[in-house]
Amino acid sequence: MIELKAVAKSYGSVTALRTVDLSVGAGISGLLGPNGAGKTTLLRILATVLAPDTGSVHIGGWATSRPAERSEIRRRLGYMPQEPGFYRNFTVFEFVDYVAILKLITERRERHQEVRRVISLVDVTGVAHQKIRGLSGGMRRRLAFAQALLGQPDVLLLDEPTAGLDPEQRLRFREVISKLEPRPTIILSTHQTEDVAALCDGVIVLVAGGVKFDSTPESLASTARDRVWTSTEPEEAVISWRTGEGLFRHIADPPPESALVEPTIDDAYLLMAGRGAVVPA
Amino acid sequence: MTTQATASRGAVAALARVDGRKLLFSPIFLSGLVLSLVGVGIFVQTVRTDATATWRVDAWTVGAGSIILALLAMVAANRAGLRDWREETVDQHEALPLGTSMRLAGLLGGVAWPATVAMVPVALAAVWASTRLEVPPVTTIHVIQTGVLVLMLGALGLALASWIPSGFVAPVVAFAFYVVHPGEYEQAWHAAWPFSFMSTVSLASWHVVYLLGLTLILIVAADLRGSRGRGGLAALTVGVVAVTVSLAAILPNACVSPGNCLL
Repeated sequence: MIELKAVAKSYGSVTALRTVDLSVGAGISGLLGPNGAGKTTLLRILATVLAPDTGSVHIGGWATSRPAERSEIRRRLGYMPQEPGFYRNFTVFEFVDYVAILKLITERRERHQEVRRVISLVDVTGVAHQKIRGLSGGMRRRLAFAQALLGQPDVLLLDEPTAGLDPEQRLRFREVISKLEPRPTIILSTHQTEDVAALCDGVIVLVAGGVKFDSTPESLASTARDRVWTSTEPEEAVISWRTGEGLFRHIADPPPESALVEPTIDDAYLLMAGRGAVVPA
Repeated sequence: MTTQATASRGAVAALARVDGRKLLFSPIFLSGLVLSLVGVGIFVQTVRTDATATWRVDAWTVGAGSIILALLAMVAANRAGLRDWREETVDQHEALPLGTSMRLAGLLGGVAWPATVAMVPVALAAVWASTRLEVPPVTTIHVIQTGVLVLMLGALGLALASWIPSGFVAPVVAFAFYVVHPGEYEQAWHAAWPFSFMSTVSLASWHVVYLLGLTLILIVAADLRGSRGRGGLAALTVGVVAVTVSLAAILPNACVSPGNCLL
């Protein structure tokens, strides 16, 4: 469905992506990586907002480099950027309706029906006729998600969609994602490994502009097998922290007779991305 | 691809409806409409209280009101044109199938709404005055001219938004237009001023052609990237020809002395 071949992108002297080869099929793929790993650049390239310096990108068989094919891709694409913008003096309904027009849903009745469907999916029907400027950050995030769902896209690109959502809203988001019919190909860029564990069929780890891992969440977790242990005292490790139970959890090659524990996706990701994966709060 | 083109045309029409309504109910345009109606009100009051009142001498308040309305419509159109820049939606809208040029076409279609409404106060004043005064036939063209003026200034507002993305530029340009406005037309070139209202049907019609030509040039300027093709070149050519021919018709015949123009 999505094919990237030797895709590279730099901003001046800063390399954002270096020779990325990737093939993403149907289902939900999580995109993990520390800040600055190139996740947003990759999603912007897939969203046809940014052209790669080199390499080729095909989505559903269409090339993003060809203008006519790019239009076809855009018709089948839903994109929720990391920092979505809104027309603050529009109401929720007006804004989603406006985006629906830009998505070429031109027949008024059909469009309004579709707008009602997506705002109901993300549970903002109650504020449909409120101005966006009066909405909370969480509400706006849901609104950004709603506009991405317009027209039942074949490909859904979500850049940190759960950032700023409370736990209940995150659960609601997972519920909506998992119930989408027909099932689109979804790339979910996130710092939340719980979202990846809960939702994703596949996971891609991007570190310093390159793909470091591309398989299933279970395989990712297994890469940290025998490398996670706990102790009652601090120890040297790649990453180490004190847990809520008062134990120290360590990720590295363990010393002999360590109390090994079952690794999580979090552990494996931290091990893979190193200290760079520890995102400052 | 034909389906895409048809869908794009439908989207432009839908955008024009949405943007037209938004422009019409924008506080800036509504303020202009109120001022325009105040101009009409002053004229009505003058006619009712002054037995010597005439259309030619006393309807200047109607014209002044419509000029202010047109300038405020430009500011409103400029604000609408700056929306994506101001609200930082450029990136996410770039990922949608309707391109920048088509979105601009939709906005321009939206300007047609205030342009139509701007004609109403002038038309009302003319119809009311015709029951009491002698209103020259050229007034009908002046009504159309008001609408075209709003369309032209709307296109200017959009061109400014596209070239200088700043909320300060359009209000400054509007103010400058009003301040620099020659008022009494004593030299022929003053007829090239967008606000001049000609005294004969023929001259006023040429002035409408002139304004439409300027509108086309401004549309091309507003969307230089999208206008590089044959369509853009054709629009630019038609615009330049319309401006040249209409000026050739107007300049030798208009405004060589005060009173040749309405304002």
